[in-house]
Amino acid sequence: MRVAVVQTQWVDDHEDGLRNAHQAIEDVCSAGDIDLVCFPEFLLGPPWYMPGQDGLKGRTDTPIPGPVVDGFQTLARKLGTHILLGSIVEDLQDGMYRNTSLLIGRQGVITGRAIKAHAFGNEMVVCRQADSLGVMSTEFGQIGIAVCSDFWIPEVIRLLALAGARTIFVPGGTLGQNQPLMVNALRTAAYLNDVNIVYASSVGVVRGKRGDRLVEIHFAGTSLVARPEGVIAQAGSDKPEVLVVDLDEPAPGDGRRWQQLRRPGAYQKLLTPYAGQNRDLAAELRASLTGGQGPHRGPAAAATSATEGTRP
Amino acid sequence: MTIFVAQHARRANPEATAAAVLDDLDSRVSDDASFVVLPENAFTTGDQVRALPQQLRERCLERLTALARTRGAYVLTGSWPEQRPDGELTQVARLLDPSGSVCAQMERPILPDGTTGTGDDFPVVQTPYGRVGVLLGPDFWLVEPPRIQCLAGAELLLVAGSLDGTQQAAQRAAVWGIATINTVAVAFAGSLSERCGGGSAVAMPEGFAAEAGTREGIIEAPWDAANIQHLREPDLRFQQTLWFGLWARRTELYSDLTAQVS
Repeated sequence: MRVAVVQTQWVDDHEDGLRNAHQAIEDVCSAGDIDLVCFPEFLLGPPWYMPGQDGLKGRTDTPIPGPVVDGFQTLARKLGTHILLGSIVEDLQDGMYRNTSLLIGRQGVITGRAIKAHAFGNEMVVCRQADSLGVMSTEFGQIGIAVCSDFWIPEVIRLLALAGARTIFVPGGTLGQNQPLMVNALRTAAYLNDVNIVYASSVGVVRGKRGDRLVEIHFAGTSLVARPEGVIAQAGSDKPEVLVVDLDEPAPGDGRRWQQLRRPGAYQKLLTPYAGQNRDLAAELRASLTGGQGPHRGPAAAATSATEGTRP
Repeated sequence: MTIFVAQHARRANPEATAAAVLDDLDSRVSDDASFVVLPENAFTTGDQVRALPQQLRERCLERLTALARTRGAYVLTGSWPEQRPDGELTQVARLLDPSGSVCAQMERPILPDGTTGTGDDFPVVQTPYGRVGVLLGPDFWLVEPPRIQCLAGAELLLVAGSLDGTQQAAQRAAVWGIATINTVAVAFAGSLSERCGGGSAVAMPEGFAAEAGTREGIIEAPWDAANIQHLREPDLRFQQTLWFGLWARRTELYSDLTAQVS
């Protein structure tokens, strides 16, 4: 499978973002036979529920099906390639949203859909989450999709690998301060689970107010492809870029040897919450969205400017 | 508070290996020690599967007990093969508390190829230096056992392990990766032999605090459970995000991990 990982850059005008995405597909497919083009999370631009992004409501979110997705389906059909729309904020038309990843097949048909299952930040309040995790059958074999923060729950990659996925796509967004540990965590997940991991991220900065505080969210690219033995391709952190890699299913390695030693009957405690969990984070976020103050940890951030993350 | 991790090459026989390891520990482990960690097959090669002779076993345990008492430290003895009454060989690792008493014991089967098997118990021990999970052998390389210990509140994983995979660069990096994805500290002890590539390390979620690589010796790193406790506390300003993996779980989605046939 020849995969093109498109590292996008968020731009002020979401229409430009959409045009750039189309152009990236055209460009990479014109340069060679690409089986699958993979985009990051929020490929149309930041969601309205990020700090200071209220003006994007109705712009970077969209109904599915709808004209935005139709455009990508037409492109997939025209170019004969799969397109993985890393994620789009899906407007459910009832006041709620979903962070939805779509796989479009060569014929332009939506062949797979993964909804973020572990909401992050304000998604805990405004988004519905997936009620299951599953793999998708493709001409390349079984694949999995872990939408951004789903990756940071190690149970997710494990479940997808045990269900037969040999390549797992992680559309996400890299926070600068997490960059080195994130690269190593992706590599580790590939190794322990004996899978390929294709990670697509965007580049850019989002600025806005949360409460009375100006915040900046820096996205540091670093899209990469990891095989069980290590990272085989990695993008930079400050500009749009495309990685093209040929990926085969990994031969059985250490991860699968250990998986054969699993004793699932002994793992019931995975079905219990973290012992230290003693706060209702959704309630705190809801309060902060409606102007209340949730409890804060640690020293107060600078009153006028701070760097804020949106995901692990 | 300091963590000490032993990494030594195998000598011609277990007696010589034990002497080298234990002498080194005696000279290097300071009174500041809170934890001392030895590897899987601490004194044996792992290639010749036979029980550690009883006299040697008792002598090793005696010296490690003295180390725990004199330093006021928790000592993970590493493991060695012991013969059970039914004749079966079993890898046994013990966690000694500062009084020298065994506060946790792990037993794992020895597989036909001489490697260590996995098990059903994943102990977590409350200590004055934080909650620690104890792991022996390949349980560490499975996703589930370290995860279960961290969900139970373990802030530090003490691992009597082996870097014995076929992709050792990736395996070495995974010691840190496992610390990151579980927001936990890891003190991993491995040995040096034909099959085992060292890799002893102390890893924090943000990176390695100490790494032995393939060098023989004893590494050390400072330890303060408050660092992990801080990382695990939700920060809804999202300047720090490593707490997410423990807090945002949806347990109703994971039942397939406990299914007998995967």
